[in-house]
Amino acid sequence: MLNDTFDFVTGLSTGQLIAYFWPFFLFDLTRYVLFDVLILTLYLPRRKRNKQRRAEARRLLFHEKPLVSVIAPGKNEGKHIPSLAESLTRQTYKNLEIVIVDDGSDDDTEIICRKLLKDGKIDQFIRNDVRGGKASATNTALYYSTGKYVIHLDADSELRFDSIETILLPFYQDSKIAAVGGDIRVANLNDTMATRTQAIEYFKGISTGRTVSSMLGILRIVAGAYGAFRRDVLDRLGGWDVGPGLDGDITMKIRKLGLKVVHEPHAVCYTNVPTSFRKLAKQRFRWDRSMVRFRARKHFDVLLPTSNFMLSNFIATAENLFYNLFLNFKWWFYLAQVIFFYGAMLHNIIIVNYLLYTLANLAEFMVAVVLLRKTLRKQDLLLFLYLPLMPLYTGLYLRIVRTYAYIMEFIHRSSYADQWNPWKVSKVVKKDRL
Amino acid sequence: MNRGLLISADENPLRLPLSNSAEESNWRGLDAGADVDYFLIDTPNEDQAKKIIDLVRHKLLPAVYLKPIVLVSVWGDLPKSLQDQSDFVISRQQMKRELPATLLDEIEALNRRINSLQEQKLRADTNLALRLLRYLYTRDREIEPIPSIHSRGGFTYPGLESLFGVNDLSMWQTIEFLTAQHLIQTRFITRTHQCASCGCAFLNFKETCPQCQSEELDSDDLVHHFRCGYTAELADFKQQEKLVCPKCDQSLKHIGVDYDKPSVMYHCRGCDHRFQEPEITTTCYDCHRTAPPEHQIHRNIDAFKLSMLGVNAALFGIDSLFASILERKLQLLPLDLFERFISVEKARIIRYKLSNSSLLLIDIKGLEEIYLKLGERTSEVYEELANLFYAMLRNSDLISSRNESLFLMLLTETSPDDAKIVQQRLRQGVSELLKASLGTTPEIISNITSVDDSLDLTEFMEKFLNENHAE
Repeated sequence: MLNDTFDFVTGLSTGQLIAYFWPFFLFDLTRYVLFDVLILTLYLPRRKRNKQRRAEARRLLFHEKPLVSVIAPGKNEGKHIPSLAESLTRQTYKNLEIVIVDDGSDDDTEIICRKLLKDGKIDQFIRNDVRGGKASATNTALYYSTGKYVIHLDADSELRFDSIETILLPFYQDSKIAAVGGDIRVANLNDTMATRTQAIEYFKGISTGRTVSSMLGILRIVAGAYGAFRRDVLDRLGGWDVGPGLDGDITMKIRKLGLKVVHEPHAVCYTNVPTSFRKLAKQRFRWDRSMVRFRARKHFDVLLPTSNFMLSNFIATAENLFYNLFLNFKWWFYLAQVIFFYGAMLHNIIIVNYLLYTLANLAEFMVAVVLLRKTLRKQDLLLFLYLPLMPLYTGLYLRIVRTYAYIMEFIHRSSYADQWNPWKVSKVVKKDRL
Repeated sequence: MNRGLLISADENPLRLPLSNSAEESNWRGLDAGADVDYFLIDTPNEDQAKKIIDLVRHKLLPAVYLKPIVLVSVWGDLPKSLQDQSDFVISRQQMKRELPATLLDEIEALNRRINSLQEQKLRADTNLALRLLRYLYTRDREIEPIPSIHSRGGFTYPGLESLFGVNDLSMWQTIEFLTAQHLIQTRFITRTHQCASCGCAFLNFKETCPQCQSEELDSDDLVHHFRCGYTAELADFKQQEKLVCPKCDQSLKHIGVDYDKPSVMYHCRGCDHRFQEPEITTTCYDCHRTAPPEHQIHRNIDAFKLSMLGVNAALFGIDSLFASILERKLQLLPLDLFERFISVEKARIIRYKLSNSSLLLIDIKGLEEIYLKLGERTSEVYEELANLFYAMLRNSDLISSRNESLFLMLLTETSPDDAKIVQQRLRQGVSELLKASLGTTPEIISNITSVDDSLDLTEFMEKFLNENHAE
């Protein structure tokens, strides 16, 4: 059969190659491999040249030593807080204020955190007896924090020793920067096959993808799991709006103010990801719907020629809508095309596609390794063994979840019924179409 | 036929010292008032009535201090604190020429119980615990606590205040002592905080800043606006009469519908600290000492009544204390059960002819008087005595008592010679302990016999008692 495939490939003309594999050559190869390589060949030397500027930024930071608030709002996260507080004491940047908000937990969170507060391990603990959802908890933390910069962190994540210092540096390099995204890596990568594939996906999507977006000035998300913000800007915006997807939403709102948002690939944060494909599907269902809710609806105005029009915002949203939303549906079109028109060559097309995407993944992985080299661990490098799984993971699994999420949100606005927010909140935002 | 003694503004037959004049008073006599059935108090002012009740309750003879007191209400609303100290209250109208028959019946019943303390009728009760026990015995009911701003402890017990005095801590100490001795049974009613240094229940509970201990705190509700997720203190939302969200400019209309209040925050005016859990401190209104609530006394306020042991103590004196302590510590056996064990042991020894056991009798003379000498420290000495017994006896030994001072011990697998060693050590230990506490060496009499065919416990005990009586 492989001989057959080999013959099939060698017998293809360029025209046929494009006709049979146009999604790969026209979109995925160009956008995710060639483009990334091109941008990073520009980025890496520039970063090297900027060494001097970074050193200057570092000097300014440690000269000013501003108070930095680390906020970790959440429900039933108490068990993670002691190790979070402990890990923050090992940071190279020390002037921190840890603010924990308990959003109506029904476990021991309150007891654990009150003890930590008493022992001086955390600086502020606010318990809301009634759950108000992520946005209200985050806004409570913002309200009671006092730092010049606010770092939003998931309670179950862990930072590299120099992470806070690193994520703050961009603020001292460019005064237009209002938010910096941290580089999210998978902490529990060796747990299951689901966590391994996610780890590879994070390298590609977050580490490389966001670095490239950031360079182009079209970064559209600062992850909720680890992001730093200027307090004055957050105050101006009145904090976070109701999610799900509030991290992408606030990033867009900052961009609309004409301020810059960047990604810092060396500010490392290890976070725990869903361990089964079922749980992962639930998480992505939530994330993907917010893409429709926020990009295609709430912030659709950035695509319109209004007085607020900014090319970078236009591109950020358009690129996102095109590649994620539009091309997602293109895939089903391609599938239909292959089945109906090239049915006889179906198996060969599948095999070749599989090989092409595996190679693309390998290339992307290598790009990430070059980009992140200093901060990678041995176990991260060993992930290359699982690269052949990635075409199935991204091409099939994630695509099915995403398509389902988009359809549900377009037709049913199902994100408003997500239990992630309390019903009292969902009811109001749904009524007001927020 | 009931015969009461009327004490009024005009009549004071016993010449109770109600004024400050130093005139000679019949009241000084030990048995003054002992031969009447009740005191009828009919005075125009409350203070005087209170004073008469106190005078009666402070007398020494049970026949006087336990006497029923009938108060005639002439002031309309008689203060509850005064009503509580008397046994009966009647109005002028009810009184007419003599007391109502039902009341007289009740007085008679009460007097019958006082008379059952006949033996002690002409003996002075100086011991507060015993006086309380006897009061409880004659009143024959459960005494319930009453909240009172006049009592330092925040609660008082009707009738007991005049036995002790209003702000006398000895009332609480005596109740605690009697509870510890199982002489009264308690029923939980409530709990108070009392000052650890002066016992005062009037404590000012205050919220303070956990950082600087300042008492100058503000508190404000946290408000969550559902629509935009904005969360801040209520003051930030206030615009004239309305609540308006500072983030989205929408008016807040209905709590629970478009906003809620998830928690309360405190703000310290002293150091600007914001927190949810203020520290609580207490300051005593009397001695002004400040301490956290956990460092104050938490006292259970119980209702109580006499236990069977207490009834016994009320009738025959409080000196069976040692037995109650031993009962707890050593599992003192009732005498009949002890006899049964002796007969079992006897049968076992006769049948198997393998071992021998001994019976030790020990009589500690004057143990019943120890309470009079030591007062509240008695229980400590008894505890030590019990510990001594406990140390001398093995798990396989059994102990019982004939009365408060005569103890019987079955020392299993012990020959009379070995038992002598136990006897010697016990005598020595008891002597030393009591000498250290009382200052005099008590008289201790003891005897040992082997548990065998010839042993008749009753006879042996009779003989032992007779010999001692002969002395």
